[in-house]
Amino acid sequence: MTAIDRPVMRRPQWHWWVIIPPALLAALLFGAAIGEVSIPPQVVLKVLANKVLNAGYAVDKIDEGIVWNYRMARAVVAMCCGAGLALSGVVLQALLRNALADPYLLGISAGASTGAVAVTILGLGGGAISLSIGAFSGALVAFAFVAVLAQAAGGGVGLRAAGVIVLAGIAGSQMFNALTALMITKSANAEQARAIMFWLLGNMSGVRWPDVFSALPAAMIGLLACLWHARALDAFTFGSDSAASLGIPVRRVQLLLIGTAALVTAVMVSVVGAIGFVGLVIPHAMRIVVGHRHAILVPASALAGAVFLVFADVISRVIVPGQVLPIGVVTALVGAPVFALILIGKRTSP
Amino acid sequence: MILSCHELGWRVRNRAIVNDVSLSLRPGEKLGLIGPNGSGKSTLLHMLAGIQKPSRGRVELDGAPLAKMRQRDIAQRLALVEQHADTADRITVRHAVELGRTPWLSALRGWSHQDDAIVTQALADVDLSGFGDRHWHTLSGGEQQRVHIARALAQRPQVLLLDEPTNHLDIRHQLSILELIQRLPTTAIIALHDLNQATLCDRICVLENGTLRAIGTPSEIMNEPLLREVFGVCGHFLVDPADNAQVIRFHTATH
Amino acid sequence: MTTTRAKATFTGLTLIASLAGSTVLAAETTYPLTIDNCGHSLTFDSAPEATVTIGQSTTEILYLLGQQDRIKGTSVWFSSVLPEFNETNAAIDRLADNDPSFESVLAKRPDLVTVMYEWHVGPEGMVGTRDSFHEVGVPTYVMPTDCAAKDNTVGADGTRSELFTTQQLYTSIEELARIYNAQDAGAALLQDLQSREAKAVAKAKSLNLPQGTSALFWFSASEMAADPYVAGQQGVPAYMMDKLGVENVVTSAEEWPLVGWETLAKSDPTFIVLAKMDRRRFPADDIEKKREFLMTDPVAREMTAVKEGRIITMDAHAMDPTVRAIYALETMADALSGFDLAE
Repeated sequence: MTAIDRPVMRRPQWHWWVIIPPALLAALLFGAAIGEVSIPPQVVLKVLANKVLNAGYAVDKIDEGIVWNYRMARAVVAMCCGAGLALSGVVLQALLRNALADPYLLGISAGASTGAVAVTILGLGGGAISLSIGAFSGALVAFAFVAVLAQAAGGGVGLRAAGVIVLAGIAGSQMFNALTALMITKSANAEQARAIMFWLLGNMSGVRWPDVFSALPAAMIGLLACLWHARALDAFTFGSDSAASLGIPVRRVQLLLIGTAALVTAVMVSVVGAIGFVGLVIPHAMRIVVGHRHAILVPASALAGAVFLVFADVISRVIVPGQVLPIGVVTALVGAPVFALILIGKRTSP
Repeated sequence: MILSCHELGWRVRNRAIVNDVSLSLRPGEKLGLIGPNGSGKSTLLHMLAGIQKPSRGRVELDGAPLAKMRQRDIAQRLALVEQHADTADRITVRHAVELGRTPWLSALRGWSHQDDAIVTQALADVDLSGFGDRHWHTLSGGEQQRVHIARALAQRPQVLLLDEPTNHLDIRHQLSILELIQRLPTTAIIALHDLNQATLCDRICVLENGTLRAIGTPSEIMNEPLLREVFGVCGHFLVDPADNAQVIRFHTATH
Repeated sequence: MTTTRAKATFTGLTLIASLAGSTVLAAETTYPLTIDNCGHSLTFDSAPEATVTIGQSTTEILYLLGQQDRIKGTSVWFSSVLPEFNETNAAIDRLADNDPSFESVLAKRPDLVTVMYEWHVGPEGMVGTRDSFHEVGVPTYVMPTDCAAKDNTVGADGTRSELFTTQQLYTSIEELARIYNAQDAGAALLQDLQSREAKAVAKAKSLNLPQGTSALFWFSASEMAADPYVAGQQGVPAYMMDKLGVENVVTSAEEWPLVGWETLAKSDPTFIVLAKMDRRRFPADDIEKKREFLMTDPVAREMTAVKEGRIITMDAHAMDPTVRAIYALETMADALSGFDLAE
């Protein structure tokens, strides 16, 4: 056995488990410290000490509310969404063997907008149903439609099944987009359409602690499902026939993981809107940085997605003074150059 | 009888791709699978590997019906080397071979030194020691094929199914792969295009339009009428003076 | 005719008496009449007989001018019609609650379409462009409140280059009165509105509000806790604040910008004005939901205005350039006097 045969990739794995808690903590602190209005760092720390350690410092109530109820809640939800979307991207890219697969491939954002539009423009529920619930229901209906279509159009395993899922996703998205357009042209005005489009681009402004109770479990379920199936995801490297020959129950794993990805994405869309870019690019960026093993790629993508979205949220609030940009715009504006740098950096270093 | 199938068939849109094939393998036996393009060799192998569900008939592995076995249990005993399995992922050779350990690992049973040793051995078996850190996409077609075989070997299977494993390989590696397979204690079915290579197997199974045309030892099977009827060629049987082995030389059927 | 209208006419008459000899007294319009309107020149050979209105404000102004018999259809409603016109309005065809289609407007064979918001008939008009109306021989009149010193291509609801003034509203009324040959009614209405405006301003001045008294106008929000739509620096609420000597805590020049609660809470306005509307598109359209949010949100409930109960309810349509803006100015002056803010 030569030295070169040593498993070089396996050793750095433990680094990730050491990096993750401090990285998440730093991102949370950053998210809590920076926002639309400036609050001195010592006030921020006092608030956190009060809330976490029950320290009992005297702090202005408004400052305390802003740091803890607005910024902290938003940072936690941003983390969950970033992690959840990145993981959905990892799963779909691995299972469908399609580099362009993103969490919205399965008709989820199209369905979410249809649901949101049905609630706000058609007045479904008479104001009692919120935009989020409308979006969540729409996303699930659209995914169910895509799943049934994929099932009907061609069972079996292998490349054909992956292709069928992608096609069904496109068909489903088109159909739900058409439904949305129909509703808007029939009964909405420009102002309404604008409000919904803005929301769909991603909007974290209404996020509060109660949202953590849906976003956090969704992200945790996604993370656990992916970690548990890390080896199964690896086994899809040479396609689903190859995965089957390696002992993976392909049908069941596809159903379970794609279903989980869809559910996680639907929850995130209903909380913050359809934030683009994260689910598509974070997994690719992380493959370049940590390699293709899902045992590393999964936690790395979750971490990168989480930290990235906290930063994107902060940037969206401070980049234009006195105004908030849709976070989806920021993820793409900031994310694309960063991804380009990673691509170029990898090319120049052998 | 380690692997057997009974009246196995697969139809798509009323066309039989594989029809009524029954055969059984003895432990340690090497079975050559030959037949013209489109005769159903790949489909038969996929059904024997439990990846393609047969439309009729059944497969038995170690006496147990394959249809009732978990995919993982199948993969611990049986490995398949596919014909065209490629990936766009930037993975290393060693990583690709490590995938062969998948059926033996679980979330609870992690990677061990033993797995490392098995992977290293599999790489050595296909003559790829020292290639561990090479990236998949930098390999030649033949090297990629050997990686696939190493991955199958890392599964430590009792039965190995190989779909044209010598495709893409230069002659030296063709011979070394075949010799490797001969040496293995594993039972194997090898789909082959080179009929001379097929004669090195213990038995040969001839497929024609999805049906089993003949099965038997090379000397029983290989004769001029079969070559003409199944493959549409004339075959002249010569003897290599070096080792007195029989060699077939082919001519187009009009001769 | 209701008593309110009678009173308005009466005050108008006293005005006419006191200003005898001024041009206001030119009671009859001479046709053809040419008017420059938001970059278009309109010529009328006679008073329009079949009008379709796009926008509640223009509809209500025509009712106030007594022109209900000349309206064939209405559209774009934000809240209930002014109570004195309940019967009048019920008798007139409502083409749509929101945007009417181009053809449904034309189907009424109008000889004039009056428009409250330019974006209904502007270059990317939701109903149809002004040119497309003019091509089929239907003139359109856009209220100067939405095109004078206002760029409707910037910001979600347009951006004014200077503060809204009631003069724009008065110009609209005066022009419509001339178009419809109803100048007596127009003069009376103007007199009524101007005197009410003056009284409200005088009342606010007498309150002697301390320096730095500030306000926040909350219209609605897409989600209950999301960044709300609030009144910007140049619109109708800004005009009200300017008249009453109150600062707007929102600094954006857009008509209805989105501003985060973080910024709003830190700016801690002296009082908060909530829009009351019939619309139920978003949960925050409901004024009770807005109140509930202010009372329960961990940050908003700490704002001084909330703790002191300084919250004013205002008809949402009064925050648009309408006659209701002037009625609301009175309401606000009254409410402020109840807050006991004087130093």
